[in-house]
Amino acid sequence: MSVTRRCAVAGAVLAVSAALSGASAQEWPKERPIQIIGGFPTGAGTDIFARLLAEPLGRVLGQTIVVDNRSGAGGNIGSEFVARAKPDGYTFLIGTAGTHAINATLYKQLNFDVVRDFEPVALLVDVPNVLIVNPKTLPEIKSCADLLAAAKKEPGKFNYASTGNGASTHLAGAQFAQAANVDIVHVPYRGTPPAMNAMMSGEAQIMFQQSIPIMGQLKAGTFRPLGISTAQRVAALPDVPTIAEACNLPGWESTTWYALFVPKGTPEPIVRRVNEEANKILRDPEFERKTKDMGLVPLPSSRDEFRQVQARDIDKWRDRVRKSGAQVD
Amino acid sequence: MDLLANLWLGFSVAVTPTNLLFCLIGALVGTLIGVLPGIGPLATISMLLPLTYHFEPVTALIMLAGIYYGAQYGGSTTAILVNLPGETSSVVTTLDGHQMARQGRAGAALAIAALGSFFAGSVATLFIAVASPPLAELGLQFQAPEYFALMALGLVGAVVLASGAIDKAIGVTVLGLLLGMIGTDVNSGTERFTFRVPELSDGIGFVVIAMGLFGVADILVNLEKAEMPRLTAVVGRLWPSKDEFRRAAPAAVRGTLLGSLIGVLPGGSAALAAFSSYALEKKIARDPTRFGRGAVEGVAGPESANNAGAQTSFIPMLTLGIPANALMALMMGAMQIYGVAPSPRFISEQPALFWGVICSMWVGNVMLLVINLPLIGLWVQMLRLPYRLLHPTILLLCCIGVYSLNSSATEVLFMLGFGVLGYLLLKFGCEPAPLLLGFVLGPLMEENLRRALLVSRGDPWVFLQRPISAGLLIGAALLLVAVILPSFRRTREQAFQEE
Repeated sequence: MSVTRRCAVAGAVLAVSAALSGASAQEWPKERPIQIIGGFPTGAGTDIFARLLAEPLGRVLGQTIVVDNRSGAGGNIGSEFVARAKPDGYTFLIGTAGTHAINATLYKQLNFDVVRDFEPVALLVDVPNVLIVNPKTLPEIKSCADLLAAAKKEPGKFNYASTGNGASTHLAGAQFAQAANVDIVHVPYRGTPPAMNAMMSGEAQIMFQQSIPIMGQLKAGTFRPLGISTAQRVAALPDVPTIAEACNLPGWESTTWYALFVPKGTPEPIVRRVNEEANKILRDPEFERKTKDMGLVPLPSSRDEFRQVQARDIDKWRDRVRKSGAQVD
Repeated sequence: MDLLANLWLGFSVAVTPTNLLFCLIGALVGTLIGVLPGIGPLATISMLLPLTYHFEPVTALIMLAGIYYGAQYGGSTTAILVNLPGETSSVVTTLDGHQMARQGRAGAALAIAALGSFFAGSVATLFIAVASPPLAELGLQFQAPEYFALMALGLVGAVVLASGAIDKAIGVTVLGLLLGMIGTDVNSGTERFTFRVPELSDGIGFVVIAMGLFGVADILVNLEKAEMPRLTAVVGRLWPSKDEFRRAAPAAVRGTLLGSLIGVLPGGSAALAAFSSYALEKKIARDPTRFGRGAVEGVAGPESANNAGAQTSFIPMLTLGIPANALMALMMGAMQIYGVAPSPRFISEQPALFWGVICSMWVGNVMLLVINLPLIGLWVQMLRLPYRLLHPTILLLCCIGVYSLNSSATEVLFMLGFGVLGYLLLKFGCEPAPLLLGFVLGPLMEENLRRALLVSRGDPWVFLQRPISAGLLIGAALLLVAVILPSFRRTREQAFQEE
């Protein structure tokens, strides 16, 4: 009985989603739904963004798009799955600077190559990290200069939280500590929720946190943003200076992007088409508003530009990972 | 009377026809996925999320919340009927609930689970309405030392869980601790016992172990019996007797209180609430030996606790903007897409949304009761199914459930492996429940111990200097003494008798 019911529910869900995505021009054989694989748990930034993108992308392609998270090993399980998938245009990966640049150095033994096994499709958004402090625990720290002065006065006193060893939140902190020459102690947590709780309770005092989960907190003033890790200020937080400006660290930046990849060998027309459609969606004002509300920066770009960004970031993060001493094996 | 005005506002939002409809849909879907083992609210909500982008935020949240607490209701059904926890939080319900079913009291167990859940749901709703901000503040008092102390208390409780020999319970708990070691260490980033298997790098999933130890192992044990014991569907009347009610009611009250408190803790969960409630009931019972043999309190307490915990885990998210668990993180992501990001100012900025969702929880609980009570008669008939149909169905559902977590066939194999382990445990007379508790609490305890020492820069006194942490540790020590003493006495008595 349960089985029939489940089928009925699944059928209803499919029917509704088919109705919502609508049917338009026939593009590539619609034998089955396209899947976007995510390498992080349901509810993570990649998952939220992939679902946001899947809806308009499915509509213009006339295909059902399913987001399927195969999380684990810092995103490597999802990446490996896509690297080994059939290059037929039905399997996409929402990768990040983490999975496709940082992990190349962070993990000593990967069963795939982040460059050779993938075809880059479209760069999607830049994901800034915001340097935050809790005004309740550190009321006197109003700017990055204050923070640096306080940290220099008492080396080893402050803790910085991260969402895990080798996560971009960790590496940004390590990179910051090194550039500014301050002694702050890394305290890793298992993902965003416990890290934010530690910031609230005062267990950790400083954090580089991705913008998505803290936009509401920043507006409410629970956390005080001291700087943003992008090279330029972002539209959603116009009053927050860049780390480079605020901390007097010229040229400092540390961001991770989200992007679409397919397995190497996927037919050229499909890759080109998805790149074009993704760029159109990123430029759509309504979609742009939603991404900006999450503190993200849309990055519509050509595939060549994307390739250059990835190559540059692999080098950049190799250096940062080595200097931070982080490693996972 | 701010509270009355707020509740009035909330109910005026919750009972609009659209919101009532989606509350019902949420409750129905939740019940359904609760009944299906392994298919949890997390996967379901993430699948349904895109559909909700076109809804009003309040309608969408009402439906998603309905799925979550609805699943807590549904999860107990299979736990009681076929010893298979539909949700992680119903693992403890199998202990006494399924025993009741074997004695022909399945109807009573299901009714008590539903009524206890309803009671807990109603109280938790009121709890959220009255005490959200102070409760959320309490959650913030918990830092690494407090979590360590809480887990230590929980681990001692794990031994209390077992109804059999204490040495076996300790052994099984330690096995659980060891299994919990597998995966990437949070503090150092080092992989432990993963043998280069990528699926092990984040540890073994709770559902994988629970399905294996309970679902698969139970089938294996039944298979080798030459003569299948036929389950009697109903002995006596279908509904609980007066005596069963009398014993269940206070347990439900205690479970509700405990569950409400644990749900508020970030990182606390409905599952932890259920475990704690069971340990408490067993500890204060006049005759603890009834537990594990169909004690009504062992169903009423945990079932109330998990539902209360499921609801109060909304508090940290709605009042502080901090998700208490993965599911709340998903809800928060959804709210951001709707443009209503949670934060400490959420209640004052979005009163209609906040109170609407809270009041809909009560409405949803009424609906769940109405859905579930008439179904009991129907569910009980399932026990008449011959094993040759029931067992393959259960096995298939377990496989689907585990596969749906990460779309990983390897994890299905792991589950079967744990089925064999569970079979061996049962053959040696060990209970699997303490293993699960050790598996859940061990890694958290280690993580928080090391974090506490990292933050205190290596000073171990931090555990005793902080009042909550010290209190919990003293509680754990007392409980440990209480556990050891009677068995100590018993062994001595036995020694005397032998003389």
